[in-house]
Amino acid sequence: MVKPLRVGLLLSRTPIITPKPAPFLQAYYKYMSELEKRLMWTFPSFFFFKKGTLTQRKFNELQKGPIARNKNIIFAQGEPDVHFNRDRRFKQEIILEPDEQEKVREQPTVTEADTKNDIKSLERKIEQTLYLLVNLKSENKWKLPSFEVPDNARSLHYAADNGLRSLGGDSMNTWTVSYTPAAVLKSKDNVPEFLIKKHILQGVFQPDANVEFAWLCKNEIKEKVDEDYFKQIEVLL
Amino acid sequence: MIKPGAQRVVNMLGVLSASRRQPRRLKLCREDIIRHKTIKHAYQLFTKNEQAEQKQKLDQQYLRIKEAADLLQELDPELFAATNVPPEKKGRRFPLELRVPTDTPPRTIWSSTFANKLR
Repeated sequence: MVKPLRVGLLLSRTPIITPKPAPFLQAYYKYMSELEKRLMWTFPSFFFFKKGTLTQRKFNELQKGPIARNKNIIFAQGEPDVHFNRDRRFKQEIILEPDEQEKVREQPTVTEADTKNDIKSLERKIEQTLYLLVNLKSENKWKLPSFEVPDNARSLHYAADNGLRSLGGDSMNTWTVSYTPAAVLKSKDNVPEFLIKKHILQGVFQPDANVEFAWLCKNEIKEKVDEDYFKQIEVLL
Repeated sequence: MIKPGAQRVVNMLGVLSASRRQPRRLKLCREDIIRHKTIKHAYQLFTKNEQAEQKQKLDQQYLRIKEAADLLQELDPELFAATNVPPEKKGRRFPLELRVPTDTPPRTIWSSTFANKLR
């Protein structure tokens, strides 16, 4: 026996990296950081490098140094104002040892799954939140995973968890955000579907052969599901 | 020639003191000041709009939660009571495995091997 309601699952993979700021914000941050650098005090190299030592020589060799003031030259852009090896009219640029900077190697943000467009991989679109969408061969309709609630069910999130394990196997670590349903979806057959929010933390979703699945971001979900269905879940994504 | 101890004090004071280490004052013309103020205002407007958008979304999500809770209470009071148990009461803890987004991706993006020992 089942209850006259269903439980749905909003299983998400949270972003791996922080999203890139908007172009306007990038420009603003650059402006502010340049302004801050211009207003910064001169770096006291005499404090960090003792006079006459090898480290001081190495440091000084790397620095470009400003153009010195010369009485015999006319400076059209204004006379240099050099103090402590810095032209005080501009920001100071400190150059560090090049091999020290090369040690840091960033991983690419576009992954292998992105280039292959593998929608079954959890390693795609690492900047955005991905949601699990399934397509049962018996229904042939893309939607969020949804399950029947047995009559003896203790709670909605237990039913959702059991449903997920029976559908996608046991080799994933998930975390229920809240026991309270995030929303209720209304369908034509008049059976309300309560959505439970979950995050996937480790492992993979491995269903049977008769279930198609995809990890999609918000824009991709819009293309896959029905218009009415998307309108109902749009706010939650 | 001053003593090494005194030289150290001089060095420390040099780090702290503003003389000669301060950059030259920014002298902006009227047009530049207006430009700067415009940039500041644009940033404020941008963040304000962003926050308003976020608040609107959260409000909508709250309404959906309330709608779901009301309907569940009407349909099945037992299940509704189960949703209202505070998670702390069941010994549920925040998962250590939940990753906080970082600026750059890690070497292994997703750990796909996981064996459920509880079951």
